[in-house]
Amino acid sequence: MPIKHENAPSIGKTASCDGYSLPASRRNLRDRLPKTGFNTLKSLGIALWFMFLTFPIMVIKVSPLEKTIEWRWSRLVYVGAGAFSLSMLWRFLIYRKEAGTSFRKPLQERLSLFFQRKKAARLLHWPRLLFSPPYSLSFFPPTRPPS
Amino acid sequence: MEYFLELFFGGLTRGSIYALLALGYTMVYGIIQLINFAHGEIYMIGAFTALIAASALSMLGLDGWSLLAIAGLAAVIYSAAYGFTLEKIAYKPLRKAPRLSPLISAIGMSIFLQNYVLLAQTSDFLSFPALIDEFPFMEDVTIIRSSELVIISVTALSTALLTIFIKFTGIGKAMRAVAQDRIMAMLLGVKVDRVISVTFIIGSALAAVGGVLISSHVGQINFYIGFIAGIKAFTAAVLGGIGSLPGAVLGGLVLGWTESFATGYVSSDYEDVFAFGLLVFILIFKPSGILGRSSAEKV
Repeated sequence: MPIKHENAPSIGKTASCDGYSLPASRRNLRDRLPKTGFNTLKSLGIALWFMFLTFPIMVIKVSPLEKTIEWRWSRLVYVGAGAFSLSMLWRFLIYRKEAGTSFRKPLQERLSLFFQRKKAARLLHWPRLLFSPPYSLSFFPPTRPPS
Repeated sequence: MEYFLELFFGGLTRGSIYALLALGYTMVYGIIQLINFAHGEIYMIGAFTALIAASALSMLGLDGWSLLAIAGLAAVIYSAAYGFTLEKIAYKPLRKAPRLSPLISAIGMSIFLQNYVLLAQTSDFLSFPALIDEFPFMEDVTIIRSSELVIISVTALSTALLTIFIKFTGIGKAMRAVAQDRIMAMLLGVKVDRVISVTFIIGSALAAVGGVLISSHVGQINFYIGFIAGIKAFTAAVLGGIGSLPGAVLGGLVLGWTESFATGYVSSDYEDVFAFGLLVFILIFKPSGILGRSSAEKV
């Protein structure tokens, strides 16, 4: 009987993108939370880290001669949003890479899924088309041109 | 004689800054055999962080040594954080790649960080406030300024502390073990990733100390100061024998004195010619540097 180490990754579990090198406390957190939730938390942490890291250079601009400070807070929001999005994208790409070929469904299954979605979208789409003009017109009522 | 001493202390000051930077280069090279070309930019970011912190705090009414301490601390914290992040983003994913890949990554990060500061701050030279006050007991002394004395003392203290850290602490011993044989250290339970991170953090903190001190001494900074200083410090590390801590300090001092005496007795135009000429001369006769050890490689 093959001896299996308790921390060793088993086949079929490789879809986890965080590896098995995490300490026990964090591994437990990962197990408790759904995968997406855990990844979102980690990406949020990375976004906060980059906001801290870029704070002095990106946000504060000083003029030593004029003795003025310019605060550019909007940049902090951009850094946070950018870091969060890139981190999520990074995790998704690693997840796809580690999942390998099992991630790809057979062509027929993918096609049927595509048509199912298309059908569902069409069902949603028609009522929206029907109701959308009056809805938008309620915000912008047509005005009569001045005579 | 007075002129000679002035040049001597000027060279010692310059060499001390090169030594602080060269220690970072040589530590990283010793651990992961990588020339971290972005190290000069970490030094530049440290100087910018100190400028921003000092300007903001001086507008709040803070001055003197407390201003230097807080601005220096901010620079050290942020530079260490940049060094740590740099390693995680640019070097760790390439740990198993061919040796050329992290080198290219380092050059890329260097250019990225330069442009990051250029776009976020300015391309102009910014005046840096003199954070080191003149000592009252040095009013009559002409051969050395107070800021130079502080730079030399801080470098000596940092080098001594680093030596104690490397020789006597657990993480220092782990660093030496990883530098000797990374795979064996890993097999013996040394957390190699943590050791590499600590190396980057310490190297970056030393660079920040150098950045704050020299910017306060010179009085102006811009986004490009890290590149020039980085090249010179790399030269110092190679001159002393890359991978050797005493070698990095010695290399920095030799380079500083060469530049200072060449500027003083020949011409400031030939400062770099003499510095790099000396490098070539020493490497011809001692290819592993002044204190470097040549290692035989089995094939």
